[in-house]
Amino acid sequence: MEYDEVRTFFHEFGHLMHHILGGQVEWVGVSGISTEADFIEAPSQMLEEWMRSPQVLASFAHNYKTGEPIPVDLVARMNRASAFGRGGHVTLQNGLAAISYDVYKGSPQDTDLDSICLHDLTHYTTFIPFDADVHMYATFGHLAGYSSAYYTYMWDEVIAQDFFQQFDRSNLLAGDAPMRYRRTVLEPGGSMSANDLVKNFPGRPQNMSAFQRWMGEGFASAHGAGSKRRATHAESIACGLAKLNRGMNAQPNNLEPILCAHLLRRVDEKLIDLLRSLEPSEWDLQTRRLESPRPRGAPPGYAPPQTFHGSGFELPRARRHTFVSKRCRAR
Amino acid sequence: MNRLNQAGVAVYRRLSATVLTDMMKMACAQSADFHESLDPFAPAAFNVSWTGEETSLNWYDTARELTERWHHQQQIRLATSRPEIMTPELYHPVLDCFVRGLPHDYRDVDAPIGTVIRLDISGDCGGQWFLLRESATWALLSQSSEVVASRVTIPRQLAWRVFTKGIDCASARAQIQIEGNRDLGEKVLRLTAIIG
Repeated sequence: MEYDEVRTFFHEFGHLMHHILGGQVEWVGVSGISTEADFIEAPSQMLEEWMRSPQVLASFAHNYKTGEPIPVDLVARMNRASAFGRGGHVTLQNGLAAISYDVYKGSPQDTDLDSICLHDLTHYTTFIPFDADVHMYATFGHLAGYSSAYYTYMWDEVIAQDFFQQFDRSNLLAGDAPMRYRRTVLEPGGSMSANDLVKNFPGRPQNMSAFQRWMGEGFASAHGAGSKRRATHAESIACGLAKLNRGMNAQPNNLEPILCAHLLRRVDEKLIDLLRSLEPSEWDLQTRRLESPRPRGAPPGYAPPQTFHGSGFELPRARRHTFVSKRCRAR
Repeated sequence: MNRLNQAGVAVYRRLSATVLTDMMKMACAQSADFHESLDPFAPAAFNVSWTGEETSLNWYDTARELTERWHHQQQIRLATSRPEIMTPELYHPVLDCFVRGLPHDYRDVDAPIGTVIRLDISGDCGGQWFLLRESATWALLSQSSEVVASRVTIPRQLAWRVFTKGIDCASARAQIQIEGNRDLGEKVLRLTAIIG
């Protein structure tokens, strides 16, 4: 099977698992994949990611002559190649979503298919405008099946990536994530709001962080071995999303947006670990040092222990209570 | 700000370290959820005041939030002799956000159109940025092929302090390198990328 055929196989298998495992609810109208229409592509696209796992592929993908499982190195190179150009893929999907909406939003007699396709692909993608005689809508099969809702694919890709990050990448079948996914996402079928399904599995509201990381993986690869340092998530995401949002109009030397919402959690984790490691005396000492670096009655020659002052870090007096108060300041 | 801070200290020091930490953990998670839920390119509820913007986009406000959390944690780590958090993943975005205040910081500095100031922050967390004089404003760029009028190099350990009132100008001036037009380059040290 070719790469795209394998991906399609995993995609459709995702629909199949949703259909089978969600088929046990009482009413057929909310059974299986009878969910909100713009949630249907989440389980299928989530399972697409599984074809990037060497362990999963090795469970069935064997050389037809030697019986050897697919080499891990080959999968790694395949994954790296597949990460290339995801920004372009997303811009194209956004363009197609815009076409599907624009074709159906007006009355048929006023709809100029060629004009809509030319405008939306030029506006949303970085591709060179094509000749109007191409009639690209004729190859856009989902324009009939999905009508105005082609946006579903990108909408659900965000959910799928959020789901996928709940799994252990080193062993997708490990831990409680697989069964939790089955119980909380697939088995309810359409008997629960999709809004609840996407919250119940990760245990929090959905967000775009995983999708942003997925978008940036190609850039992370480009900064891989041999480069001075790997690109941070912020850089990778900034590169991908900035190009997505600004298209060809971007000035080459302009700074990219700093997309770092996912880093707040990282820096907070370190803060909580730090606070938990503090001795009781350090909590007290810190405040006392800031308020009164030289205790009253200190002997001549008294030198305060390592403090902001001792380290050459001179805080203005007005900001000496920053630590506690900043933590507590409500935004 | 100082009055609010003082009131916070007075109230919250009555709580135990355990309670404070637990509250902090809860608030951090809620705040992170909130920022992750935002459309990065929609207008933010709060502008990033030290950039001079009247309206900022959410990604900028979130980046500013990261600088706040990073640099206050760094202060605690310094005070308690704990390891610093100068990793490229966390410190580089903080620096990248700080320096975006430079065009506003230089707003009253005149120079011929096309003048370029290069800022280098050393180390694997740092980077280079170029401040370009345009017709009436300054623009911050990632690259420039123009001749550099002034090149400022700040050690990475010093950079965050420079932009957060963590060191006075005279001490900072002694620890940075400036090649070319010194007056022009030195004004980098005026940048304050925090509220207060």
